[in-house]
Amino acid sequence: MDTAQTYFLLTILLPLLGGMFTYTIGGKKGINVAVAAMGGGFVMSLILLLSVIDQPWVIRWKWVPGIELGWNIDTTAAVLMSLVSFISLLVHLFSKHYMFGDKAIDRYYGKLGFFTFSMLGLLASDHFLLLFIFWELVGFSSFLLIGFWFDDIQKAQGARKAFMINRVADAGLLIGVILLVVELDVNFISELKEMPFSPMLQLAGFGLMIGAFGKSAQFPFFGWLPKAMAGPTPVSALIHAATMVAAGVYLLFRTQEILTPDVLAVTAFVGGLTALMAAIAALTQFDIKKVLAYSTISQLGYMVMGVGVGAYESSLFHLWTHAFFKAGLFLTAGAVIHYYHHAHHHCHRFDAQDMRNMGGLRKILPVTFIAFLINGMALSGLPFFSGFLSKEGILSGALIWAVGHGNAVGYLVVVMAFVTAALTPFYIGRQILLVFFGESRTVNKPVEGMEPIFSVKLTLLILAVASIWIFSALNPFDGHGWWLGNLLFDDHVMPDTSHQFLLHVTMALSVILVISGLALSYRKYKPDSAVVLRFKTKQRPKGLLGKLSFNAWYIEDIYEKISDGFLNISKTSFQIDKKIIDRSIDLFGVSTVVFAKAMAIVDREIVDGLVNFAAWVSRTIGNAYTKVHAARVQNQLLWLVLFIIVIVLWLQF
Amino acid sequence: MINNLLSLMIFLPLFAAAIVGVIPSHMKGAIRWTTLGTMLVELILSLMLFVGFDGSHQAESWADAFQFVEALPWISLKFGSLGALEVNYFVGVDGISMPLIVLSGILLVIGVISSWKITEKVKGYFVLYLILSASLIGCFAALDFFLFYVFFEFMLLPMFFLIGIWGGPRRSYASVKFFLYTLFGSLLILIVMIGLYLSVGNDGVNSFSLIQMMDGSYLPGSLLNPETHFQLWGINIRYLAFGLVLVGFMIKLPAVPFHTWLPDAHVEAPTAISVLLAGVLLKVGGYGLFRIAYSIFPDAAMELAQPVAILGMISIVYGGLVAMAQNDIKKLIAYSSVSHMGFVLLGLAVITLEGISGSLFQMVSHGFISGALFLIVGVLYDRTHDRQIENVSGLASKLPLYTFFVVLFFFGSLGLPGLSGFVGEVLVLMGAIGAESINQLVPRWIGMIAVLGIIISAAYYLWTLQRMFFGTYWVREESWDQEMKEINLREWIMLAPLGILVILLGIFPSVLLDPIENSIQFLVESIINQGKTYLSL
Repeated sequence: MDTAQTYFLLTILLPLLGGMFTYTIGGKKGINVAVAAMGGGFVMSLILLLSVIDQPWVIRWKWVPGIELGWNIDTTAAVLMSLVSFISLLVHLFSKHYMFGDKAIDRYYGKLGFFTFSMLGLLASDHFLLLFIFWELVGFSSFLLIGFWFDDIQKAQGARKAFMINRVADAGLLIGVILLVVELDVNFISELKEMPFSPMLQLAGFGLMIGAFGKSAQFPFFGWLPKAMAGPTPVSALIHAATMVAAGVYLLFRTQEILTPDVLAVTAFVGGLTALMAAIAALTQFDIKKVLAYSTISQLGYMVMGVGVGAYESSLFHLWTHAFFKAGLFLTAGAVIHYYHHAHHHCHRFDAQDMRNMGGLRKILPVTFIAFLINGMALSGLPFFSGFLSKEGILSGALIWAVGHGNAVGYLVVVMAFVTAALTPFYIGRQILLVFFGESRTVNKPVEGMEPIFSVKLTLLILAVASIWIFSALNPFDGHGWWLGNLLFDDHVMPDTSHQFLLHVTMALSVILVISGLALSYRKYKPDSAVVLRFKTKQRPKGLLGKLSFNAWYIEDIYEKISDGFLNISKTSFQIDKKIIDRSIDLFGVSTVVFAKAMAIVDREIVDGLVNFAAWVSRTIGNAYTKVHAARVQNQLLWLVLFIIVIVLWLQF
Repeated sequence: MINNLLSLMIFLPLFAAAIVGVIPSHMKGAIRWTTLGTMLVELILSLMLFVGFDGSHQAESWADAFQFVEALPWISLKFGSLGALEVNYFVGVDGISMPLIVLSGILLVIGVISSWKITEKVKGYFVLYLILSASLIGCFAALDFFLFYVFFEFMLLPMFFLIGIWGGPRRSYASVKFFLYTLFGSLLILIVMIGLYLSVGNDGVNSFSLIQMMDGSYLPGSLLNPETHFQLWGINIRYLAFGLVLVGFMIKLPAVPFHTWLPDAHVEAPTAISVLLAGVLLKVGGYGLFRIAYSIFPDAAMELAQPVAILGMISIVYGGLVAMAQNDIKKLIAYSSVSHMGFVLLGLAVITLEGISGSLFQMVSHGFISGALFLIVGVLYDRTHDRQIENVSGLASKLPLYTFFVVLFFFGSLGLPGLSGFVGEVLVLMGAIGAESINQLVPRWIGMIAVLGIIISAAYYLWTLQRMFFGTYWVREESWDQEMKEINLREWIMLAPLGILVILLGIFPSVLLDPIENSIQFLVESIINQGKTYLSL
């Protein structure tokens, strides 16, 4: 075993082993082991990154006869593995406080470790089949985490629905993977190269695309992500911000060489559409996590669109920045929910996630507030924050792509992207205002000690600081200046100078949109505005657009309809089974018995009758004969002898 | 290595049955321990078979494809000028039968442990159990069609009584249905067996040898000789014969539309018998397809590949859909068996390396998983005497360890990677989707529709999990509440090894597939080559 291999195994196995230890042996006291192991895993991932910078590390092994699987850790994989390990470590730390006192906290850490392992394996997979294996494991472990509080049937249902929607998309991925491996003989991601167009390649590309849409919550699959909010909030920070949902983007990014133009066009369009739809849905939500869920979908839409328009580097950049600021947002939201849980633990009907109950937290949870504000600004795309830089590249990429193609759909994508850019600051501004500003809309006295120094403050501040521009690029206005970009992309080049004009347009436009979005949200949701005051009555949005937005385009109702239809098909099949197949078998059996009975009658009455008749005839004749000849043996013997003599004489002559 | 390993495995249970037969009926402990001891020895012997099997052996023809071969003349009747009836005691294994014997060895031990709960007519039960074990192993080892048929039929009898005497309330209906259904299948196989006997042989001497049948040493001008092109009702008689054995074994497998005996038999059978039925008996059907239908009639198999594949696809999708509609958990698992055995049929039908490896792997993996699933149902049934899904909920918070196993095997069955179910299914799907460009036997869309199976199985397993195990803890009858105890040592001993095997095979499938690689390769090549030869005659 060489060193890189050791580093790799330690990186992916340490989180798993730590979690397993806590779950099986450690118990509640063992969670420090899980956290320490995760810390070790993070350190190993950095060492792994350093050791693969010069030379990607590749290994192949035989899985079954005829199929070799393989790992490939190049810089991109190693960077993302460090990212996942880092976020996971922060979530491990944060959860110590957040999950404190939960009766199954050991199980929680076991699941967390398993998830981290699966996600790291996914990033390192080189063979498509291995990728699919870890893809499914990620889905499974997220099912376990989302359904962590399975006593609550609604949470269990949320977990099931999230898994099922993913599974449907995974079927598409499986077909794509099988077509690639079996039909096109494309096995290893690291060996991908441009291929001549073929219908099979197109089909496989669409399969991969569907799989990616599932994991990355794109239309029409995005309904699973709000469902997944049933899990503990730190889990959402890990799964639904930084890791699992990024897997789809990662897959598209990795397979860019073999995606056909049609696949890319659909990807770009669906990405833009999802970004817009989800941003609209986020506008009217009252659940603090739902806003973030739809916001995540919207941002993932950006990334997917970025891959579709060819802005791969910016997509990966956005994946990176989004991982930090969205994990930060989820964890701060977790801190808020945790606070309200404690403040209202005596009242069971209190909804600790409803923003209408919140307000004025700025003074009670100052560090949480600052962290939320910084991360929120990064999300909205304000200059001097990381989100601005990465979003810039995607928006300009889309514009350049549309201008290059010059068709209406291309411009539609651009319009959707820019509208989303205006909606994003609006909804996040609304959230900040509703949660942190004004006065508390529920009567409660502040609870002390809700921001422990180490596990909460440190975690939140790290993520907030990481969202400041300087940690991504030196120049706060250069969307292509990602310092990791130099490391990850050999051909790291600035866009063509002929596009300089478009770049300036994008930048000016997006700055204007962000500022006006924030301003609008302040106008509407400032602490004592009429809208905010009305919240106490718990009304739902009215009007068509409001309803569409609040119900997220009724996508979940559509799922329900589909699932009902499926259940009906299933019941019909069962009726067919009972009424037709089994009945015809029974009928066959019964008719055999009837036939046998009929045969028995025939046998008794006719066949037997004939025999009896014959017997009767012979008996009658015999009787008659007996009466003629007196039964005397000697007599008969005499007759017999005479008869034989006659015959013999007859034969003689 | 022991000589006569296979004979030992076949006759040891029969010998033990005789011993159990003379133990007084009231000594239940002695009867149970004797049976368990016998089965443990069987397990050791089957592991010796696994270890001793030479995976590097590359066969040239079926005649040298088998290992551990034993041959003795058994029945020899001379009819003067009419010829002679020659039946041999002829056993041996190749890579197709070896894993199935090992599977039987493992599940038979678990079946005995599961039967510990049987308290009525213990002696009769275990005698029948031992006879069943012997005939199962005999079936997988036989290389003489007559001998195979004897074992195949012999299985029915103990099974009939085990369901009919120790079963649930509707046991007599279920056991008669099982018996008649399978007997009907056997008759079809019998017809073909006689036809083959009349057609196969050497130098004018007829033979029941499966090897000669597979190698195609037909007598000139005989009925089933591919050169003679006999026709019945305008159809080549070889295709008819293939159809007959196909239906015969599809009943056993079971494949839609011949599956309706299975849910009834499972629901009424005692837990241990369900485990054996799903785990091993169904595999006899699959094995028959491998050994007889496909190896002896490769030409028909190739010509009829598409309809057979479609039947497999229908079994996968339809079986899953019907499983979804069940309220009885045991019935649900029975129908899921139909769905998962559909993969066996589909993988076999496409006759590619991936398809056939997947098919065989699926048989072994399904043996472990479905066996475990029926044990899981048994755990619940022992506590509540009820199997309705809607009668319990939230068991996870009350029985965490039990729920752990349930999740493990449910996800194993729905094909979660890392567990054995995934390997079989993905290999079969790879074979089915790839066949169009490898041997042009089966079009791609069949495999693509079969992918639906993985969605459907996820749907019903997750739904069941949610309804029975998640939510707040609740049981319908108050008396069940006291019975709801965590799984005991006996149940743990049964479930844990199966769990380990399912994980082991899921992560390292080559443990199973490496030793049998050459056998499968030879099987695929001989089916394709021979099939092409026969078709060109």
